[in-house]
Amino acid sequence: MALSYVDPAVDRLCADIAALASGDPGDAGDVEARLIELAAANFPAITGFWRRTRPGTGVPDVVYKTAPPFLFDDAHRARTFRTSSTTGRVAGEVTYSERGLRLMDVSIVAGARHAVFAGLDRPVVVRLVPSAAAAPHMVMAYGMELIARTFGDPVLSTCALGPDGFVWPALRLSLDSAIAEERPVVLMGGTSAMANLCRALIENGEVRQLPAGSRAVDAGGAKSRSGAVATDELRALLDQAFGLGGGTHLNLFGMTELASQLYDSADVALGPRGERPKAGHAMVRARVRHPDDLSPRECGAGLLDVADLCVIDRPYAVLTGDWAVAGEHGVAVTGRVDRTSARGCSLVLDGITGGGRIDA
Amino acid sequence: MPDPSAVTWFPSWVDRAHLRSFDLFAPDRPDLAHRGERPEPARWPAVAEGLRAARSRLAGLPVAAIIDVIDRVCTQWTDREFPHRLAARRRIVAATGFSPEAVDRSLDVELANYRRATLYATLRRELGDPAVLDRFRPDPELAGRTRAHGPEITGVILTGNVPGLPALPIIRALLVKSAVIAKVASGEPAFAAAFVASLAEVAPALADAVVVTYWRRDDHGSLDAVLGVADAVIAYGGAEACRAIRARLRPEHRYVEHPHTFSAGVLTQRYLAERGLAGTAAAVARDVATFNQHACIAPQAYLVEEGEHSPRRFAEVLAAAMAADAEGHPLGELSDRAAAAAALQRTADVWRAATDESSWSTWTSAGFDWTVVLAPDLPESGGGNRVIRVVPVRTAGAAVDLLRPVGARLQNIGLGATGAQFRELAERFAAAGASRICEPGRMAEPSMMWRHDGMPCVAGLVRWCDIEMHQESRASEEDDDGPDRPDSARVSEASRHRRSDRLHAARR
Repeated sequence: MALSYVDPAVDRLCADIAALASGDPGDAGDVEARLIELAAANFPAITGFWRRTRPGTGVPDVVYKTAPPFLFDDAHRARTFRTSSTTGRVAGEVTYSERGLRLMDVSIVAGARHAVFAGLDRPVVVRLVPSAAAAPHMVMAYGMELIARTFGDPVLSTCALGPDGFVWPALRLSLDSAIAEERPVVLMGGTSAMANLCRALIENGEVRQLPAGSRAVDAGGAKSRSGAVATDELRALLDQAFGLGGGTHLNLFGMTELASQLYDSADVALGPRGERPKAGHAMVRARVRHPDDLSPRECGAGLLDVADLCVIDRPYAVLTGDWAVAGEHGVAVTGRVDRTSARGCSLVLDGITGGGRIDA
Repeated sequence: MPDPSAVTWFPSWVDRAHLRSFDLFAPDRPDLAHRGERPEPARWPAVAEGLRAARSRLAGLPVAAIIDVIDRVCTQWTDREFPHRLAARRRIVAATGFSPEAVDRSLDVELANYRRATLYATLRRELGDPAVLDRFRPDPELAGRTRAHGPEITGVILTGNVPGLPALPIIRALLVKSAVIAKVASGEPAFAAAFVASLAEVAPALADAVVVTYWRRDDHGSLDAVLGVADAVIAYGGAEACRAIRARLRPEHRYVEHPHTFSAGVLTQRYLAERGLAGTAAAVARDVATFNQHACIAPQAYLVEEGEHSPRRFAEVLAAAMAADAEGHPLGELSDRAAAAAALQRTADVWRAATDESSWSTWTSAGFDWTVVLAPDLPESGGGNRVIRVVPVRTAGAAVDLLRPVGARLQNIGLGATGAQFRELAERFAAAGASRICEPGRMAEPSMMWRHDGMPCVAGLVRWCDIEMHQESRASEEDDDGPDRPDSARVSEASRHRRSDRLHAARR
């Protein structure tokens, strides 16, 4: 029988997830078991899917392009985010209930506190993503704005990406004020935007030495279609443009379909372009599955499957559509699986129908 | 003796000092290195000079002699124990991951096509009289005479998706007495050079007019240099690759393009009743499995008219037929990239089947040997590797409507219909853009006579000269001297010439 959004069992589950995400001791295994029960009760088809694949296999990301699952018929749909075009020609949609959104907030903040802001007191956060108001359906804009609001200096932090590109006056003011006040800067944004900013500053002769404690967090590098920037290439640019040396850069992996993010957990190159491994933690776990049978692999390359215990509005695991490498220190995400290229001279139908469906 | 591991072929008249060695790593098989040679871009004009000289000797041969040679070489290749074929098969398996059986079926289908009778029929169909390639021939409609000349040099951008297919454009060019510069594909670079090496053993005069090499897709210097010396271009490839070539053509280039296309089959209730589900399914399985579904003529979907023999039941029977076919003819080994794409597609289809049982079902092998998907619509991506959708349609006519948006990119239709219904559907598919209609089970076997992509591919290479309104154009005795006879003696003579008159064009 389906569980109502306001069922006490759902209340307890949300409370336990929030506590776990905030770092309180708890039983992640128990939470996962209850999420499985919730998915099976409210979306019975998933048991058939798991029977045909493997129990716990993530929902294929492409599902969110056509018929995104939502577990609570009686819940108000508080917010909808759209997937980036890298997922496919047609953008997917991911809807959050109020509770789902709150859990995502908790997870975003907890992840950033642990991975990025440890030891920093109100740094200047410079976001290289649009504001949430300018891009209301972009989950990265939402998440980075939440992080800046939670951890950043409220006066000097800024959103440095506008509709026409970099907002140079605001950017210069933030950076130069931080330098003058010796306040650490946290640069956050998409990989390409971060690389482009560095290149522009270098070309314009506007390189700076950011104060001690400054760092950079980029997202989306492996997913870029415009040509991914290798980790070491980005680091060299950050060093040249901002004086950000070793140990000051992290890459994060996030998806619209997930509430939590995975951050680099060890500074060892694991992927072919220097991608660093991400270890996950109690609330979010990255796995690599063998393409032949979807069996989990402890070591080696395969399909990325992320289980995120902070997701309650839909099945909690996603088969992300990425290729990844598992190693001793975690999982490095190395890029999107190319599903659009035709094999041989058979046509990709998407290419001639503009991504639209042809209905019988 | 050519290097048996090389993916390139240069005639002996080419000065090797002007060639540079390279290693070729296919994107899907980075552990497999092929070796080859190519000239620097600046050296192509000298190579072209040698090719033109070789071509002038080729042009002196009667087309009958050329056909005779091609027939002999391709007859050898249809023998599964032919040493060149055995070596090529081994290398094609390594490069493509196709099973040896899949490569053999592909080579059987491709090379059985280029035999004397078919070659003559192709020329007659496209040019009327094959001897127009030798001399002026009477043209009654014109009340005069007509003559066809092929290009001096044809540049060929090959595809690697179908083992054996590279022979086709090379043969088309040689039939019109054109020299050839062929660029192999990184995905399957081995066959073309092996084929030309075997040609050299039978008729050095023909192989002397062919260069097979490779350059990277982003090596615009080599591409521009070859386009600069070629008079005609035959290109296989996706939209991006074809666009890049088209953008570099000169107005005077003759250009024959084979872009990506979409093929499908249609089964009416009457056809299923007459032929039976099992027999039809076995035929469809052959359509799907041959070339591992990588060819433009391979169906990506079969549209089945709803009725007593339900599409779902047909899909079940087809799954059994796919399994049976794969037993003796397995898919092979997918690269990581292909396996990842296949796994994601299969998982997505399983999800749809789990969430919409009335419209979707999947039947799969344990590995990736085959997949049958019952689905309400066409696949968005033609992934190949034996993944076939069975799409129910209310009426057979609805199948035409479903495929109409594919338009001019619609290639091959396996039309399982009979009588008046067949004739009506054939008319409608032709109007919708299809370029070939055949029986289910014969989709993978187009004859060389078929107008590939809806155009005459041999005639597209030639330039005609007509004599009309001239008193000298009346028929003479030599007009009766038909071309349909073997003439290997003249090939041998040309080969002797070649040895005594060896060119060193690259040195000049």
